[in-house]
Amino acid sequence: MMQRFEATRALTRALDNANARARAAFDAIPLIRWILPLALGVVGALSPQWFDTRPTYALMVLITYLLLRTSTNVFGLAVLAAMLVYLPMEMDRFERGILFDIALYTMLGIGLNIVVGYAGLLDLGYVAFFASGAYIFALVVAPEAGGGWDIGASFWLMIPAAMALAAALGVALGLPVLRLRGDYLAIVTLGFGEIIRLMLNNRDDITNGPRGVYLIPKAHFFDKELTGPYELYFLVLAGVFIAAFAAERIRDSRVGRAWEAIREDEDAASAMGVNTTFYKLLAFAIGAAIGGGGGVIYAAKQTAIFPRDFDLDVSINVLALVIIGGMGNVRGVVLGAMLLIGLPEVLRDFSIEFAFIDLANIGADYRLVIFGAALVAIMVLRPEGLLPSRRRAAEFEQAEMLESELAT
Amino acid sequence: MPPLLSVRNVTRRFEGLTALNDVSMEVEPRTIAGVIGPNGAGKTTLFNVLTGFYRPTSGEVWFEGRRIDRLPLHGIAAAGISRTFQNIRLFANMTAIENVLVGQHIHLKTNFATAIVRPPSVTREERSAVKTAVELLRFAGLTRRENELARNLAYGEQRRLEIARALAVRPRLLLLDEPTAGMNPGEAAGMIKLIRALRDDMLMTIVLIEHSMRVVMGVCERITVLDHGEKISEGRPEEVQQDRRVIEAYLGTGQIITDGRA
Amino acid sequence: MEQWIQLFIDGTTIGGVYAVIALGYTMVYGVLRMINFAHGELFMMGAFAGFYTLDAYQQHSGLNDSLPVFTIASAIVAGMITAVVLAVVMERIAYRPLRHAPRLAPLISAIGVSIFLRNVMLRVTNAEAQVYPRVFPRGAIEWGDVSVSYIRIFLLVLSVFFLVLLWLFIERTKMGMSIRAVAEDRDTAALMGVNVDRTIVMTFVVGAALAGAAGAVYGMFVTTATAGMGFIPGIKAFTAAVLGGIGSVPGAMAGGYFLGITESLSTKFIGAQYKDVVAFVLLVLVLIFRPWGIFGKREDKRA
Repeated sequence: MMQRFEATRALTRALDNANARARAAFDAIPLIRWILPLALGVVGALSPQWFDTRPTYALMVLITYLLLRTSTNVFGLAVLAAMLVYLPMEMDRFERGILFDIALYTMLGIGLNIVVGYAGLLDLGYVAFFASGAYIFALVVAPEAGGGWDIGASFWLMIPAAMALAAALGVALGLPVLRLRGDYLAIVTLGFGEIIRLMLNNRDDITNGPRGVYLIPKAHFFDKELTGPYELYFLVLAGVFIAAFAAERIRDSRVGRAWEAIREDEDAASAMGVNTTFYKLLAFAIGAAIGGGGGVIYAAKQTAIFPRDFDLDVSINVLALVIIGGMGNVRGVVLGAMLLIGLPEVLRDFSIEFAFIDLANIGADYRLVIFGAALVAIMVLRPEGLLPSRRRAAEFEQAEMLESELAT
Repeated sequence: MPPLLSVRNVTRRFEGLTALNDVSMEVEPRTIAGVIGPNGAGKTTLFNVLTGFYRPTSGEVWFEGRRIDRLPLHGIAAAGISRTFQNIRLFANMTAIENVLVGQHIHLKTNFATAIVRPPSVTREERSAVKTAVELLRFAGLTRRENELARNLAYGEQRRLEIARALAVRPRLLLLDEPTAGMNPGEAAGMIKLIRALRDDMLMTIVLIEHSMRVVMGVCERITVLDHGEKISEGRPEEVQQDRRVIEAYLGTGQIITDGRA
Repeated sequence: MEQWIQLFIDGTTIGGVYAVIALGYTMVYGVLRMINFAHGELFMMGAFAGFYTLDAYQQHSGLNDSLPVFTIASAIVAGMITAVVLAVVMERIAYRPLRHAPRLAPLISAIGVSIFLRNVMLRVTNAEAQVYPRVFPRGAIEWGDVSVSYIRIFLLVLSVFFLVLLWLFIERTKMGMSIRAVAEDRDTAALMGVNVDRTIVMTFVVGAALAGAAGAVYGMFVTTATAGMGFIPGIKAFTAAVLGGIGSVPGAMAGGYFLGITESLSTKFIGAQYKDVVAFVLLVLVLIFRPWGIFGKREDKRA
């Protein structure tokens, strides 16, 4: 028994080593690391005729994957940022819409990742916070809203206000369910998400019911009206960067360690003095705030929102992108959003014509079929996600440095 | 000197089963106390009562003149008690140093807002926390294992890491649940040395549960013997060893008291 | 009084359907500690299998009129077979490789299966509801103001029949005993010589057969089949399983009827549009306050 245990452990270690070596080899080949993405980026940038959806998209996914996979140094980030700013300029309205969705879902993914990836709380009702952000904003600013609550509030004030309210909702929903574990928590949160949607649908008097809230005023940035997905894309992009920055910094702190400890072993974390209830609620609140912020931007872009925009599929999509990308890190979320939100859209104009098989529009028709199968395939082949979180380099170096200091 | 820890008439029942029956014990500061007993005697239940995992059905637990049996789970560490687990419960996918950093949780101040802004005070705090962690790991004999994931450590190393993590809480009372379980004689000897060092160098008070008689007799100054949830004997090792009730309890299980390892 | 009887009977009808589906959830959860998210889709596929069978009879023979007993029975069997085949395939491809994977992986995989099946049917049907041929005689038993249609009676009787059948299977057969053993403790069961893999497959098979049959019958009841029809009954059946204490077979049965009757009453007293809200609120309340189920027995935590 004991021997078998040892053997498994040795095997695990050997596999870890092999994996590390493979990664090191990958990182050491400059061709893959820099030259290829750079070349592709230059070619892409110089030939606007390339900006037909599919190649652009394939390119973006590839570049991002490689950048994220190999490193996140200044140069890599600069290339990424330049690409994210430049690409939409070359895109048409439809493509910009896709880009907006990817960015928005990335933001939601970062928020949910705090709950699921960092704190290990499986939340299937994340849409509740997204919906509350959108509805709080819409009901306050839209003159046509059922209650006619127009107080002319500024978009820029509404973002923090809606985030705070969403966070409060997160705490309120989180409080009763925190002692539930795993699957049960998933189902209760799923229930919450559906209850919120059904209430939005049924409480005509407040939310205007299934007819939705429309004529939501445009946001302004100084004098410029932020009209379409293009302008608002930059707003979401800013949201993504802020959320990512905040999330990573919290993760690499005492708070992040407390979350990770809770996820690993809740009882042991308590025994170390970690107030597990507080930290779980904190994760819910921060995740909810980010979701609420995303909701505000979504409502501003749509200018009309309906209860049916906030069904279970949103929660499932966000969760799936977090898990496919690799839980617990922002890079995984970005990749997950590109694959999950972007790919089905891009698949729209994908068709097969081969000998007697003529499946025109296979992409448009079967994209969700492919998506479902892909979810299964990714889970079976890489259950830890495409970009599993790597150990934090900074902490190691610091420790090693200190150790040599102490040794002398 | 008043006792550091006092357990007063603690009873704990589970549906139809009395796991602890009217157990009392006291632990003096800077001593190593042992709790022994055959399997199912209620040792781990007692530990779980002391560390807040179970509320006693009746009775009280006092620590440093303060009643602690109603504290929330995380309040026990803040009160000054920390523990290790019988079936090692490290944060398996965190590194050794991160495990120890979690142990320092209650002594650090960073919250989510300062974590985002990261003012110099946070950087300083983090740096000194890492330094403390490295020192604790060295003390526990885990030099150069800082960045190894806990699950990749050898068995004996994992037990030591649990102790380093518990020490990071800066407790005034340390509870060790079978610290030498599953160790070979060499590892066990090293562990005994470490436990003595904890008391002698770090002036720690220690309560340990042990199955292995050799460890208990060798290291503990006072021993409490439990059987079927009741305290059957108490005293210095040589006293307990002679106690008829203890010998009977152990004979009943087929273990021979003087030759330790079960 | 008659109004109450009517509500009670209506509730029991739909509750029976929930109970039959809930068994699949509860049994799979029992042996694998996993929520089979795609279970509602098995129900949906059963409904489609039933539809295509009846439709084929309608197109190519007059059997729907001359021998409805036969066509109805074959529609139900078709629903069962379809769901069973799918369940076996899905267990093999999507779940078994993930038995030792991180906790969330099987859940996501199940969600993938669910999306896959729903969208396959959406394509196949061109997103249109498929209307069942009329095989069931119209009409109802009238009793004062209480009116119970024949199809309701059929549904009621059939659900009880399946529940009894399952009960006998679990309690009286060797395979049923294996399932209970694996649910209790998989490792010990394996040591005792139970073939765990086969038992798990069998659990899926039995759960799927019930869901498939329920789908076919439910389809006849509502007279349509749509790709999205699995979601709400699926989640409600899950609620039923939780109400009864998930993992418990009699609990799932009781939970199904309880939920059906509660819903029926709430339609009357709170409003039809709140029917789904009531189910979800019930689910949330039970999980928060009595996670071991309304009828379940609390398991005391012991070290």
